[in-house]
Amino acid sequence: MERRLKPVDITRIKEMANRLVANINRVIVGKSEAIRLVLVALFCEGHVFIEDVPGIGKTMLAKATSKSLDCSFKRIQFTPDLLPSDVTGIYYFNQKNSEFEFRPGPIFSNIVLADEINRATPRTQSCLLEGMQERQVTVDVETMLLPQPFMVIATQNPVELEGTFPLPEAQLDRFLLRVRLGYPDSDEEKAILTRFQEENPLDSLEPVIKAKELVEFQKMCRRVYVEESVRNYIITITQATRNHKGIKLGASPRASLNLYLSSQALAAIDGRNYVIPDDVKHLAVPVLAHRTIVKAETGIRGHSAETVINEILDKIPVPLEETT
Amino acid sequence: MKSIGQKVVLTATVIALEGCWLYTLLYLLNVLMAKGRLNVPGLLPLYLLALGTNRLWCWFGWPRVIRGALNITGGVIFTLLMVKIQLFGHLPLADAVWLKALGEAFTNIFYGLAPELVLLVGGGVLWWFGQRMASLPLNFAAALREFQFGLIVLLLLLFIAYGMEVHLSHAILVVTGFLSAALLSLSIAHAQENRQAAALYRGNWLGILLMSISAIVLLGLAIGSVITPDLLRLVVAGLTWLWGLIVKGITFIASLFPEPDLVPQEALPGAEAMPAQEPDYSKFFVLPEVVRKGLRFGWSVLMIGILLVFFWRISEQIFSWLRAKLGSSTNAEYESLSGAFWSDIQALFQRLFHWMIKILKWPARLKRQKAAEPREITSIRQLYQQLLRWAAKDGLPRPAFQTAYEYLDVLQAKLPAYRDALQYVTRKYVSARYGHATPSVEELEQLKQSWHNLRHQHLK
Repeated sequence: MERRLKPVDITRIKEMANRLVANINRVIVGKSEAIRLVLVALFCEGHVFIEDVPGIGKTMLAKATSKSLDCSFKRIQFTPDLLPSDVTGIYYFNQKNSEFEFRPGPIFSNIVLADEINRATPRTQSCLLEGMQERQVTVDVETMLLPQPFMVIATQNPVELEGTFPLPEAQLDRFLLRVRLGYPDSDEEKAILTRFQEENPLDSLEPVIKAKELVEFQKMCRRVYVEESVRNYIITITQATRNHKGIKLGASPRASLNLYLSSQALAAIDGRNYVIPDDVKHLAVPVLAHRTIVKAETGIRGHSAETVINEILDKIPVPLEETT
Repeated sequence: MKSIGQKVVLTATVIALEGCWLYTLLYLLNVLMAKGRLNVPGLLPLYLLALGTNRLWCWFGWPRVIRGALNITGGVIFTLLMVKIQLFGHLPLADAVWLKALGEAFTNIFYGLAPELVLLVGGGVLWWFGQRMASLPLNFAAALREFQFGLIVLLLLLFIAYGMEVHLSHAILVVTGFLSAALLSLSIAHAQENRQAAALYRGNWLGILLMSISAIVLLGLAIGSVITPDLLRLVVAGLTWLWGLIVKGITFIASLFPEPDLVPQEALPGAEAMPAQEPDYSKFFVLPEVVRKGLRFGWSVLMIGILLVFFWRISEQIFSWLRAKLGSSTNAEYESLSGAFWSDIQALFQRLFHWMIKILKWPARLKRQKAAEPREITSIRQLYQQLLRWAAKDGLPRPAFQTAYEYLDVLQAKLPAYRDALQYVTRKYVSARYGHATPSVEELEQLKQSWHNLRHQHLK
């Protein structure tokens, strides 16, 4: 029997989400949509891929998010000479007790910021695969569990591609959603100048949620009710990406699952204990666009993955009452 | 003539138009099935009663459901009263004998229509057309539609009367009345819709009238000289031969069904019992009587349907020819069949089809609702469905890809005055539809009230 989330729990999640947004907003000006998406990923145990041009606030958003949580945080600056062991950790020989001992890498923390992830070699990028999907790391023959909660926030610069390594599909598929920040408008930019004039507000940012609480909320989000027709709607969307003539590689079943889970989290953040088609539509582009590869001719026509997914959304009937 | 006066005359002429063919239909039914036991002119007040009562309920502004219920109840009561007055006038009202007779007539429906049933059917038809007239917007298109439909029905009835050798002594009177009413209603409706054009001829209307009369008289004389009684007899003989062929065909197909078994009667006292017959072993498979009754009924419906289609095709051809002729002359006005009779037939069949689908789906729907959905949620869903239909009728149909909230934005932008009501209805629908949240009785009442206000305010 499916256990529905109680209204009191939903209220708690909503309040907590509002507090988190308010806290992050102390550093990040505007961008409420991007912050909401990061929270969605946080509440459904997903990883976020922030992609935008330099100077937009990608790292700042990742840092502000991690500082708002009372969790361990590590930042890894991805460079071409970074090795997998620099991320996962290594066994070294301890001469004092004449034994091999494990020194955990930065991945063993609750929030990991993988800054400029595409600057590392595919070999190093791949060391995150197991951790991101299975929440464990295997070094030599030893498999170690990662702490709970665990979240990777990766950033990438879509320009200046010299000396970078594009992320493999397998890696991209492990990110729950891709966030794009975009340039601030003039008012927001003015507010940024004022806010950062004397000191960096990030330094004084206080955590508002504990790791234990976050894990509890993550479990609660999974109990948000998804009606049968909405479930079918999700499947229809992901299947349409596989059959669309403009797409070379469609969304995987993992994408369906992620769209499902993220819709649950978004509903909970909005104070609902049930998912509505608006949640699904809202998250379809951030969840699916980075997992789909459009055909060359589609790209030449100026259509990106986002455009194609929006086109798909405009064709699939939403589960609602029929008028006939 | 003032506008109200024109409306009254237009209504009266369209009523007369319908009255003519309805009277002929009832007269035929009376002669062929009720053995002339019914007083047909005495039935016609049912039509006016239906019209009057329905107009009255509309004027009171009662909700559609209540009006529908009152209409059905009124129709049943008044038709039953008509049965009582016309066929059982000598019995007191409280005597249940006449109701029993009705019941018996129903049980023997497969063996022919009893006068009671003919009266019930006729009364029902009259009531239905009366209530339809109450809500019919009278304009040129409606008047023309009534004329076209009535003309075809009247022609059919006259043909059937001829085929069945029923003497229609008042046929000329009815046809003259029908054509006069048609001309009058069409001209009034046309004048109402083309006031500017009518104003051009206001100065010399007497001349136009005289010219029209002369033209009609001359045309009549010309037709009279061409269409001789011999020619008419020839046409009728041809049609009779065609009808005979159809009847033969139907008789042949009907003969393929086995005849009902004869029930052996007990011998009367004093009479000799009939010798027992040898069992007929040639009949290995005999269908039960109930099944055969059903099959006969279905067969009759199919045959009637085929006949209707046949007549429809014939009349369509005639109208196509007329249309082609009219279309070749300039400034001629004509109503295409797709806009008149055809659309009526289409709408009728569409509605019948939808009802059939609904009825077929009903058990599964009921089961599903019982299993998964409380009644309150079903009510909300139905209410939202009404909202969608209402908005679609007003030119704001919901595209299939729009969610309830996206559609709400569209509605709010177009109807800013009803923002609160629209928001409330959508919010409640979404929580019921996707969250299976059962609303309280108060919430449901408030929701219905919001919807009611929304609809009525907008109509005003």
